[in-house]
Amino acid sequence: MNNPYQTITPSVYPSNSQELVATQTAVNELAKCKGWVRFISVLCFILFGIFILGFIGILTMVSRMGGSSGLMLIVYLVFLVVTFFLALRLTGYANAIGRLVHSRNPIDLETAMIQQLKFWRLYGIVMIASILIKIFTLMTN
Amino acid sequence: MEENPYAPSQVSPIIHTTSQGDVVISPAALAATISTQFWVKCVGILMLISIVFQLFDAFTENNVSSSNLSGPGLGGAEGLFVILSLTLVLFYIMLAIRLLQYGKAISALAISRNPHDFETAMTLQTKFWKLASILTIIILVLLIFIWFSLAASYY
Repeated sequence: MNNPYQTITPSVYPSNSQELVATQTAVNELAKCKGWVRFISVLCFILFGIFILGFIGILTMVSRMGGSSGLMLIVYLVFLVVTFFLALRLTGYANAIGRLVHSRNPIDLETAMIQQLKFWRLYGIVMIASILIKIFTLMTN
Repeated sequence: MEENPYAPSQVSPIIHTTSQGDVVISPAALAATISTQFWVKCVGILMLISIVFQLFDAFTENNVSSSNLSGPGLGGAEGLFVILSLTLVLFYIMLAIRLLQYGKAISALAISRNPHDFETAMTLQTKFWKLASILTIIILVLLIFIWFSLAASYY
């Protein structure tokens, strides 16, 4: 007999006993992590605010000095954008963990892991760029 | 006996849990976690490399300041900056070690697909963020102390 009320189990969430699960302990660890991640993200946003003030200062300098401060302006803009996105990723990660703790929904765990990946990817790219710039500076000096 | 069309195994709950509190890790979540491994290890190694640059900078600043500085109070500033640089080096080493441990735990998870390895990875991740937060607070306190010391020595 066909069950007319049978729901379709999405293939992305297999219902067999071999599925990988995040245990209660793992979820608790993520819950503990949330506070620290949020703290760092708040610091990043504060740093972003400080960079904004610095940017206004640099703009004032550029209007007086002209082209030679243009490079400094560009560098500052890059710092601004990077700091903002790092803070955003961390906030997204913390928010997703918060939702996961309450909902225990695999989608929230997915969102959290993706936000974490995006943060580390951006931070990794920034670090690689910083090291390359440092090496270039040392070689030219 | 008629088959029960409402047997629990045929109901697909929105929240997919196996035992109380466990959350199913979707393939996308697992793929994202495993992809994080490369970047986490990359950042850990780059932190160790940047330590070399920091030591170089600290040494260079120390040489420049000892040859060019004159006047009271400025020698103290040089000492404070060296202490700050060495503190940053130590903190970077600690953070890099934690990150590499986290990366290693994700590697283990990628091979075994064992819930215990996911647990270990999340525990190490929490330890990293806790350490990063505490070290950041220490650095901020140090910077405030240095700023006040410089202001006091200048006036």
